Amino acid sequence: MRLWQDFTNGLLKENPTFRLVLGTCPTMAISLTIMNGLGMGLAATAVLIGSNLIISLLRRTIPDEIRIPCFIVVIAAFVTIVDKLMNAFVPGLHEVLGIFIPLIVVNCIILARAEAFASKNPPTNSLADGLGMGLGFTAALTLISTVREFLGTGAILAAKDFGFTGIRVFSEDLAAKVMTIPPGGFLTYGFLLGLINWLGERRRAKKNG
Amino acid sequence: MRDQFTRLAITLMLISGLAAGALALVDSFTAPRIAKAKAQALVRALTEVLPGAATFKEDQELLATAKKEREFATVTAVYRAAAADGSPAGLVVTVTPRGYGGPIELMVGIRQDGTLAAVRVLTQTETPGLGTKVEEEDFLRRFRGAKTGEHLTVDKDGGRINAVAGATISSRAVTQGVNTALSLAVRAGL
Repeated sequence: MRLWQDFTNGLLKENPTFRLVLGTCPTMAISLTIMNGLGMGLAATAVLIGSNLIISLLRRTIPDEIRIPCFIVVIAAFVTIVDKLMNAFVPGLHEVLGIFIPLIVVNCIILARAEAFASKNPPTNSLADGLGMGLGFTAALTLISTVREFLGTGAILAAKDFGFTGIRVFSEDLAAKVMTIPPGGFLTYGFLLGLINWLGERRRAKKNG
Repeated sequence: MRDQFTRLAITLMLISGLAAGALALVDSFTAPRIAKAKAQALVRALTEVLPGAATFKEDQELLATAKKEREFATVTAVYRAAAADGSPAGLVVTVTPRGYGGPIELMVGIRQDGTLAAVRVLTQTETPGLGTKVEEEDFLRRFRGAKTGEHLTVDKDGGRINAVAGATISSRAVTQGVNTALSLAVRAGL
């Protein structure tokens, strides 16, 4: 039961993007199309699962004084592995995400989970936490990307590098181009954050009375 | 106290060593695949701007001599193309003129007779919806058939290239890049 709780924790209650507000830089930069969002989210999930597992296994070996350098070495190794695997097997997606793959190293979600969870919990729970946090991040990225892609281009699910132009919902001339540039990212993020907080407040208010 | 430091150093070293080992393992089977995919993508891009050519060879020497002149400072690579029978088939130049939002990376294919075959935009960071239109075929086909020795300019500057509405600077940059490629073709003896 604990395992299930550790898994669902990252999905809603402590969603990295909407509740902890971590890893916002890659969120702003790549949430342009649903495919980008999914790709980035899954890449970060792979890193998170791997680093959480290894750090949890080594949690009694790693001395407290040098835990941060040790975490970073483990995380950097996993990011490089994911980067190389993506470059070799999904070059199209790798090209789109570009610099943001290596930058997963400094994505604070990964280090935060290593420090706050994996270094204090057994491997199975750490795996569940990594998977939950990763999928929570993926879901959040996908949600933001959906809004931005839909309003900004008038189509959804475009994957240009795989030769798919997406499902057109309305004409590109009517699309709000601002959604595809950083200000649109901040607007979307802000509104979604507000909406989710509001829903959370309402639920809590109902529970209490 | 010293023991403590030694223990810390050795632990970090061991972890780093393990990480390095894992990376070497992954690299051993991904590196060849990455190199192959890269080479294939390059040939595909080259064939797209210069259809009909069979092989492409990078001309480092020409690039090195051209780079010494200011006019060719934006050139990043030159490829000499050959037909299936080995006869020269033209030149492909990659050039990165400065656009509105940063450098625009172009690939320009020029046939052996000095006519422009096609232009492709490889990377750009122009304004979405305006400057980004310079990478569309609708704009790029306006350069087709241009000849070496010709100096192209956009309509706003009195030339014959119709600039994309609202994106004169981006259009000018692409035109500039094409001019650089055409001049280099003259230098290459086309």
